[in-house]
Amino acid sequence: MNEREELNKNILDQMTSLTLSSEAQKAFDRFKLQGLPHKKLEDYKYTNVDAFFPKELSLRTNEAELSTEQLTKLARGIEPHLVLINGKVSGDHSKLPEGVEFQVSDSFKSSSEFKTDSLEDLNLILSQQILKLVIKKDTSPGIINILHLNTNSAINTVGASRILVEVEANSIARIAEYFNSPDEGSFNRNHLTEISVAENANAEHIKVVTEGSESFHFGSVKASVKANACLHSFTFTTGGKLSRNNIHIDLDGIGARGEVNGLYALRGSQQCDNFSHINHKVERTESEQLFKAVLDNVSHGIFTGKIIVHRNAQLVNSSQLNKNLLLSKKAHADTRPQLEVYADDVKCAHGATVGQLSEEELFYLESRAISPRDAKIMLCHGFVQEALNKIKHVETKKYLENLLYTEYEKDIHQRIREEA
Amino acid sequence: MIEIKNLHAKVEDGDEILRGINLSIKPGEVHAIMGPNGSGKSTLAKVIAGHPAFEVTEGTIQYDVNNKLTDLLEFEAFERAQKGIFLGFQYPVEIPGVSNFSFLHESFNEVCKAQGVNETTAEEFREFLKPKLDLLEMNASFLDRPVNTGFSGGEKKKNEILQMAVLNPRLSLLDETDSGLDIDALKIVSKGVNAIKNKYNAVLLVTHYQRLLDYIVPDYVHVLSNGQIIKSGGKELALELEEKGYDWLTKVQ
Repeated sequence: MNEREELNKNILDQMTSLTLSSEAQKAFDRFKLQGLPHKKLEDYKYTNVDAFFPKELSLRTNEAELSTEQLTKLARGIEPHLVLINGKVSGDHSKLPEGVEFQVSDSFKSSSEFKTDSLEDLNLILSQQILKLVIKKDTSPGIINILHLNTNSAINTVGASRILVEVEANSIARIAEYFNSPDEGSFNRNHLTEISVAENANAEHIKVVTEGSESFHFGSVKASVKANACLHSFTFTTGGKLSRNNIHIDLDGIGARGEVNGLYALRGSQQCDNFSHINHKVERTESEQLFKAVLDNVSHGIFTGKIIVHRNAQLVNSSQLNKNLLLSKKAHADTRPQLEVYADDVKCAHGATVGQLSEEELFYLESRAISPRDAKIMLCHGFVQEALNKIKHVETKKYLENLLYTEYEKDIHQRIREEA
Repeated sequence: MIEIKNLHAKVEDGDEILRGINLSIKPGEVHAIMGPNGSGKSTLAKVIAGHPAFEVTEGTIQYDVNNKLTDLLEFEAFERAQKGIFLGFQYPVEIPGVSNFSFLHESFNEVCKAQGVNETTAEEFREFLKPKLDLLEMNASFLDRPVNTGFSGGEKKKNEILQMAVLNPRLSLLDETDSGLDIDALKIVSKGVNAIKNKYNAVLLVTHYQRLLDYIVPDYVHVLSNGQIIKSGGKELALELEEKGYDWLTKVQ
């Protein structure tokens, strides 16, 4: 038995002792057949998931509380409306703004029949508490910040959590989910956010992954967008040893629009695998994607952009772009667009670039009295700004700019200074 | 202000492009460098500015810093810029994502810092820019666009001269500033250069055409061919070249 088989067996053995709902039972049956994703699957071509799980993996999540001090540290300055610790809701949720209905249950059903992969099945099997947020129709409650934190008692366990978001007709929703865990210890997060955006609603979902340096983050965002509604999705990743971000969007109603953007800035030996899948199910739907990567040291950035235009989905407009900036010779970028177009009257554009900082741009700045170090930083900022500008919620955008320019760049500044 | 002696330069791992340039420029002077394609005109400007793609293999460039001739080759491009050397690019580089304003501001403050003057705040700098924008008949909206990105040929060149006006250099090397300009833009750009010019600074124009020299009148014209200055003269030399071409000079050689 190889390591992967051993891990699968370990997981299945532990699962047999769980009490499962009918939905979880179906997921369990599928998982039994498939096991964990592996590199032979097209969708996991570049990422060997089992290598990131600890050998002594436990599926039991331990409940825990954080001291105020620990909470402050992991919150990194975010004022949360909801806090989840090791996958469970913690404390009160009275801070949620008006116009938002909040429930917790173990019986909410997944809104979509489609399952992206067996890690999502794992989520359906393991998540015991499902949160539901309803943005009431015709309201605009403002930003909802959700913090997902881990404590040391979650080391070597799988922390599964699930949130359902219903954005009712004509409302405006702004939701930011922050995922953070301590640097010490192997945390294995498995999170699923499902969003349904009703007619004429406008939703923005911002996902921020700053997990600890030994963590494996698996997160899926699945959304359904109805007629004349719009979903802006932004995935920001600077943390984790491995992050797998699945984004699955169904454009279900005429005039539905999906803006799916992201930024991943990696260093050390970090790996981030972004898998976006956009389904143009009906006519006159639009999607626009921009994913940018800054890759330093020996990090590995991956982007797969799958776009499916269904047979009757005429007059679809879709564009996709992935740009990678390599800051070191050993950084690695994989990028692949996957377009399946079954309708004949559509516009689909896609592109990808992988490159280093331009010598000509650097010289232009240097010829204007700017030092090589500052010129490099200016160009890096210029590169990421195009992606960050896609974020609609201004305070969140500013927060992320600051996070990137201080935390992520500390090491880069240091190195550039040493080189200069 | 600058003394170039027997300057030889080549592209890294390539052929020698400059093959013994001698040139001396004094404060208040305007020099024009003309010559056929591939003669080394742009290379000369880039070598003085410190472009890393070129390697100086022989000769010296002495530059006046605080009334003392200093070896310019000792300094990197950004240090030369801080000491008052400005290169106006033939093809100004587009930098998406960096706003023209923050670029100009950063650049200006770097020069201020190097010259021991107080840095400016964003508001002060915006005020400082106003008359310079007016001089070049540029709309303030240019400041909030990314550097040169999507600018027309004329707008890019005006933006170069705007940078020159902001940095107030002692020696400006203008590399084919007239290329890609229509006659109206050429007039505006020339007006800008003439307004910045004074008895303390100097300008080196690299150009193919006499046309520019009708607007920015040179004190000296040099003809560069095959990496060497083969003839120098007054502004009338440019007219002669316009009439006869370069053949009569290069063939004699």
